[in-house]
Amino acid sequence: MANRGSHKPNGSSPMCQFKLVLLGESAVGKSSLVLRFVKGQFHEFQESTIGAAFLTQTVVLDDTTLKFEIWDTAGQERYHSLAPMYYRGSQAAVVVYDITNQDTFARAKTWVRELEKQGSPNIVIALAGNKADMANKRMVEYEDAQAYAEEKSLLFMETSAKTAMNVNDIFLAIAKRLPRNDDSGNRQRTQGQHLEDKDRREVKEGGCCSK
Amino acid sequence: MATSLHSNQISAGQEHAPGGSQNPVLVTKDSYEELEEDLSLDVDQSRPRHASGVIAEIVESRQHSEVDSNQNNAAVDYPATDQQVKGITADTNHLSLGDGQLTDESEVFVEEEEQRLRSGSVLQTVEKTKPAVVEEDIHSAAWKKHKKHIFILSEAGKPIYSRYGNEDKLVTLMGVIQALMSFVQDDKDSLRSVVAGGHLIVFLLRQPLMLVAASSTGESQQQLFLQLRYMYNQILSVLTHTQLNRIFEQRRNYDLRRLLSGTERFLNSLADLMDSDPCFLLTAVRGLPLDNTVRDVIGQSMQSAKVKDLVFAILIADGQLVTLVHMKKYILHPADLHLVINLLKASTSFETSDSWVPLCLPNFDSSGYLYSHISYLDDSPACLLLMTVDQMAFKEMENCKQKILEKLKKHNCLAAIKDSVKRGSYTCQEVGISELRHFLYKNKSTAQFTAPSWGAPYSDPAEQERLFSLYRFVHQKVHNPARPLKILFYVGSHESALGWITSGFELYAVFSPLTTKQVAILAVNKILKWIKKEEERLFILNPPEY
Repeated sequence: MANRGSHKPNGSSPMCQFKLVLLGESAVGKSSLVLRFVKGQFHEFQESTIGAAFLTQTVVLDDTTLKFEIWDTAGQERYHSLAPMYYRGSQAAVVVYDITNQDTFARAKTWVRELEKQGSPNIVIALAGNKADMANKRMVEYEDAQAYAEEKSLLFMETSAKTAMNVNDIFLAIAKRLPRNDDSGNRQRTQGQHLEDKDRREVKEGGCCSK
Repeated sequence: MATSLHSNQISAGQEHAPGGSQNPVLVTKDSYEELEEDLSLDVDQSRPRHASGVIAEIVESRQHSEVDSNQNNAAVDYPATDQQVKGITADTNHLSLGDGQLTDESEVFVEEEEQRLRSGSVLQTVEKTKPAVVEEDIHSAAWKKHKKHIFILSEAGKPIYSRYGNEDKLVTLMGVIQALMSFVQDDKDSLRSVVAGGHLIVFLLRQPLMLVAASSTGESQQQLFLQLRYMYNQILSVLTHTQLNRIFEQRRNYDLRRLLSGTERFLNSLADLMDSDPCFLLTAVRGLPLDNTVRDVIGQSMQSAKVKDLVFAILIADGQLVTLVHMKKYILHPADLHLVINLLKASTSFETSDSWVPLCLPNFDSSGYLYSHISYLDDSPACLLLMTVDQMAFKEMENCKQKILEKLKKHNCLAAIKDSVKRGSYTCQEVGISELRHFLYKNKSTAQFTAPSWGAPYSDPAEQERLFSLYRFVHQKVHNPARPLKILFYVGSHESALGWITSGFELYAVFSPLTTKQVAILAVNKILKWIKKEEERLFILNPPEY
């Protein structure tokens, strides 16, 4: 993976690489969102993920090539203690809930809290209210979720993996928020000594751009 | 008859049995001996029943070598700070979910889950995962018609799994099972089986779980015990023995379905597979027929891509083993490999992406997980599993996979695998024995078996099922613990069958019903000669080691 040129500080193509993790209760549609984004597919009866799945997708935004390295985690309780392994060092997280199920929204809030406490300090968090095509069974009001997202300064969209509504948009919105110019890269590299370990880690993962 | 066979036919020593090898790729202990040992433990609980500690041993040896070679790898190779790496290593010492540092958090979640349970939301999700299934219950005729039921419940009598019908609707039945088993258990005895009309009901207690099979298939008590043990191991492969015990120590009436949600399909698929695939009956693995030079190249490619802490690298195509590379000291049990094969059969999601899955292999180490990188290579039917003790090693495994993939592509190995899968197993005609209809051959020294494809007259699924039950019948007769047989010739109305057990192999061959014993014996010797000739193609004889 490391030989694809994206880590080279002076690589020729403008390319950024981001680690992104999907979190949320089981059966809210995390895998469906990723499959829609990466492969443009949707399966009505998507199998529940076991462990975690790793996918990549490359998009072009304002003449910059962005490569997402996506961890699609399993939502079941038994996998919860493995989650830090995926969100530690991620630059972005999509926390997904199901708009037809109030409990999944509560669970999403717990994930946001955990990310604030234990995720990378500058992590970009997006909240996705999935299954928007099933608005007739809505249990979570758009306004409630939006108010919560504003309070926590999260990106927020209601999405539908089934109809593809807002799926690409939410990933692109994340990409726009991610730091990816020379300045941020240099700034990170020249910060104080005590942050050296963390800096190296961010550089290594392509948190800055190689433009 | 057995003696006359021994004297004038081929000697049946292990080294002469076709497909035999000095370097077994799999554990070769006979599953029926194992079962007898296992069941005798019900009385004597003091001896350990579960494989345990192997992972800790590997982690420990790794830590030693790490200390020796300084810490030059941690911060550079890893997206984590030194401190995090240390924390993670501490985690892997326990390796089970919710252990170590994370205990506090997971307890918080237990509380949250409890609240949700009270509000009934968990039951909602459980039901939602089973959408299209027609709800059967104990009173419906369709439910009663099923040939083999399997039930799993907790010692407190809480339903965990039923092969057919919604286990929620079977609470009374689960209660009866629990009462029966604990009543006998109170007298320090254990209930093994009950015969009721055409049904054999077999009970297996694996604290904290109770497993029951009710079958009208004519299978023996041992065969059903073995299947229940597989079901139990399937649950362990998700949770580990350590975690399962801890949960029920904390709360005896815990509803285990919450932790197992999403894994019903693996239990269902395993139950179905055991009714059709002879690998479980034989406790053996089928090798994918492949030219031995190709297999060697594949094995070497996998071996040369070795990375630290890689315990097993397994290549499977279409439920058959292509090859397996293992850490020198550690050998895989075929029953563990069966769980892996079942995992792949029951999932299509591995085909769309590379996955990172914690898997417990109960016969290897029931106390912890091996972290498995699972990927189908280049949209081919070949699935590569790389298993390590290090839960943070996904990137290393990903690199290792890329190296293996490049080598296999360079040597056209994936095309060879694709061809072999497409061609399927050989036909019985290729063996060139006119009376022969089908056979199963297991080499005991490698725990591998071979069988021709289901050709005529067994192309119809109903006929396959009948043939399979004939195999089970012969198998059960020769493995009868009270009176084990070396050789059995059975004449039925549709076919005759010969079962032959030696120290080196097990052979079950099926002929037309008019075939005489003498002809059958001549034929099985021809089968053995043919297998000997083909052994390098059919069996994995020289697996490389790390």
